[in-house]
Amino acid sequence: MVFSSLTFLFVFLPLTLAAYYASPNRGRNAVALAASLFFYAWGAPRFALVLIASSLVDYALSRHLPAGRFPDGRRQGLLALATALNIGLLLYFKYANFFVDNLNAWLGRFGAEPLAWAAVALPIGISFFTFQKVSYLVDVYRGTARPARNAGDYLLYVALFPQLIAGPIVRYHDVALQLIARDHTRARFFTGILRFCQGLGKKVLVANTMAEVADAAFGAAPGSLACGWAWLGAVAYAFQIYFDFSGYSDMAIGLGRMLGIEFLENFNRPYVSRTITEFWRRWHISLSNWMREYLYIPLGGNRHGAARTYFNLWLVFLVSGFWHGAAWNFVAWGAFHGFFLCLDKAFKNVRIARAPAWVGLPVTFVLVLFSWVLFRAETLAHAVAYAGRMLDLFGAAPEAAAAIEFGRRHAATLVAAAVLCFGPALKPHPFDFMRLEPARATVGQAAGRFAVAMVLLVWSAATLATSSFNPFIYFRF
Amino acid sequence: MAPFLLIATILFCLALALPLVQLATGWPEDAPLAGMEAAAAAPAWRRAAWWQGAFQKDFDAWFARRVGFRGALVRTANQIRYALFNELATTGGDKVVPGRAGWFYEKVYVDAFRRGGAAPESELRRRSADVKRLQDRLAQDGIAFLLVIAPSKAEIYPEFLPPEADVAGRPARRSDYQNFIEHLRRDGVQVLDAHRLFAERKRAPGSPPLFARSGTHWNHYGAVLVAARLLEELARLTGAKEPPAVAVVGAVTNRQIASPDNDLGELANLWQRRSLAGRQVHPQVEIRPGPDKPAVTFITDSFGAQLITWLQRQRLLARHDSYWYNQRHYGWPGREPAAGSAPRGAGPERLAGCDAVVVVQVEVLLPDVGFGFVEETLAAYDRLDAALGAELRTEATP
Repeated sequence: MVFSSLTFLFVFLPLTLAAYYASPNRGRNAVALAASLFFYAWGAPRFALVLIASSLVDYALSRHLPAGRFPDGRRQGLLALATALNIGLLLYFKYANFFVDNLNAWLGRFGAEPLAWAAVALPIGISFFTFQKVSYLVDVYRGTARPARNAGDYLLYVALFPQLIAGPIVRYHDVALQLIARDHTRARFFTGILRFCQGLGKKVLVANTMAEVADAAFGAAPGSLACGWAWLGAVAYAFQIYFDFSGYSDMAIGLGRMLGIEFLENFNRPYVSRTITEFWRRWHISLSNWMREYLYIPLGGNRHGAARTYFNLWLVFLVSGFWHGAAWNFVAWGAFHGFFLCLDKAFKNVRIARAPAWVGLPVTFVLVLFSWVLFRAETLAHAVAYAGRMLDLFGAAPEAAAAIEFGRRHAATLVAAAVLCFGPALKPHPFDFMRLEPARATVGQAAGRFAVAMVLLVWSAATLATSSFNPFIYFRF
Repeated sequence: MAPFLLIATILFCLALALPLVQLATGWPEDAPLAGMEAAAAAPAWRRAAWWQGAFQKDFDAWFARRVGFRGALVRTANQIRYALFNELATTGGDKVVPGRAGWFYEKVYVDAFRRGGAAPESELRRRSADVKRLQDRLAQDGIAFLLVIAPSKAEIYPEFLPPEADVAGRPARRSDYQNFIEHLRRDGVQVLDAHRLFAERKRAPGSPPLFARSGTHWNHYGAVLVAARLLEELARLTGAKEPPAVAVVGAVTNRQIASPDNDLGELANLWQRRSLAGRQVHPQVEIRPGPDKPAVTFITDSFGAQLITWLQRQRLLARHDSYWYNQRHYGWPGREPAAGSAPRGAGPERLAGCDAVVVVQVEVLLPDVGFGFVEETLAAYDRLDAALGAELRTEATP
């Protein structure tokens, strides 16, 4: 189930909120857990069993991880086992097809018979919840968090529906206490409403519109794309992925607040970044934090000299790229970002960040655009061909040019997206406008924001409703 | 602040819950939607379907079609998009294209306008020859034939088309109509060219609009113009001595909408409904009754609806049989016009007793004149003639 569906908006969410708030405090975790498992099972019933079973194993092993219960060596062994089980599941479900396909390609080159292999289906959200589970195990091992009180609490941390399938990646120690006790205040619920509606609008009204342009551009044969259309497609995709992903995070944060739980921010206007380093401080913050805490620092971070630091950085981004998808273009995407991060670090004294924003910002955005081409293209070869069209600034227009629909609605949405992305100087910025602190706000301010939220909710729901309506004028003939 | 937060929370929860309440109780009443949809089947819960995810998919699809206030939501989305961008969120299967100044077009006509002619020369030649052969064969049985070419709204009123229709490039493109009419004339096919009639009328100073702003077809006024000309042509072709005649002597405008002059406006599913159609043009006519009313078999597309309905209402036809797209049969008189069916491939027997066969076809559907009627009837006549010839040869043999 996705948040931007009519089933979620008008069946799951109202029934879940009603059941949750009708329950006494002590029963709310159980309601939230039941709703979350139902939410997950709606899209992937069989994989819900995988989620539950693997979480119960984690929980059982985690009981022995806190310091003092067992010798360190044994604790380390248990941590390695529990982590390996989770990473093993991820490797199997997400990457087995990729490995086998590549192996078969190699075997084919040497004239060998390919391996017989039935493609493995991907459990939705496995990348996210695997990282959360690893976070729990490591936090308990390190002593930064105590083991969950019971299996239900742990399962709720893993499966809590707002963040289950697309993040933010919640580190266990950030929410451990909230799972035990949390405040359900009107103010928190109200800000959750604002945030949820903002996210829904970003996804349905902006991201989906930009997707129409991006899909047309990336769906066309690169040879049929004029240079300008190739750039437009890349920019549209940049806005699509930002408004889609950050919109989803907004909805998750908003839903969390409705359930009394605070998740950390996941995006902070990434396209105003003046360096790739800054971009990664603003883009998918929860992933960056996870990577730093559970991979970069354990690898040695920057404590073992420059060469090792660069290697660690690059490796982290390779892993990050591979985490995003089981294909070579994602690996290339990670390598691309890792390379520019290393450059940032190597030349930090002359880095672009020292240049004025009007230089650093466009340069960084263009680099990010090319990285999105790697990310969006179907294959690495497609990405290279597409980027080639973008770089063919003075080339002749293709003879059989692809027809890309770009009407007033697309243009207006593109401009609006650009203003929202590059206009941090707007006071108040529209995103801040919806981040209200009721304790400091007047009723008028709150009412204004609520009105905007309701407009976004109705407009988005109306847009979703139209997708199912495709009538004919005359059936009578 | 606390009371406001409580009110806001209640309002939000109501907004989420009301569609489900409306679906369950039917209250409050939703805004109806225009257009035809296949009914959505309610999903049946089965354990196996649940584990395969089939039930969930079916439920999502069913709920999307049944969600409470769907009509209001669809109209809201369309209205917002129409007001802001002059486009519709749902276009009825990509059928309605908003143009300039509040004009609407059916997409198939815009596409044909932009594309130009698609039929190869050999096909145009063959089809025109077939129509002429049928016309001649019908004449042997004393049946007149007339092809009424209905004009495309996009061709008559290109000035209101949206920019993507490439109006400026139109003169460089020849349409199938332009190519086919030359063959028809050369072969001597009897044609009532309403495209030409409308183009001339439009050029005449002070001429009222011939298409409704939010309709697909010729408007009430335009349909009666064609009906008047059709009666003239039928009288000439059948040699009727005292045929009925119609003269359009003027026009009145008011807000009364003659069906189906707002069909696109209805299908647009906006909150504004009647205002889309604007003022309507209706003809002022003088009708001269005549005893020699023609009995006509129509093979027609949707352009025939208003034309035939008007002729029938004015009792200007002795009888008529109408085959919509050469398939569905409506007969009058003898019974109220009702849907029946005539199997494709029916032969000349369905033409028995009629004075004329009239094919009414919009120009973008040319050159497939009669939607298979020409080929089927020719083949049936060929079989009939072959059988008769064999019979005659048998009788002549001693």
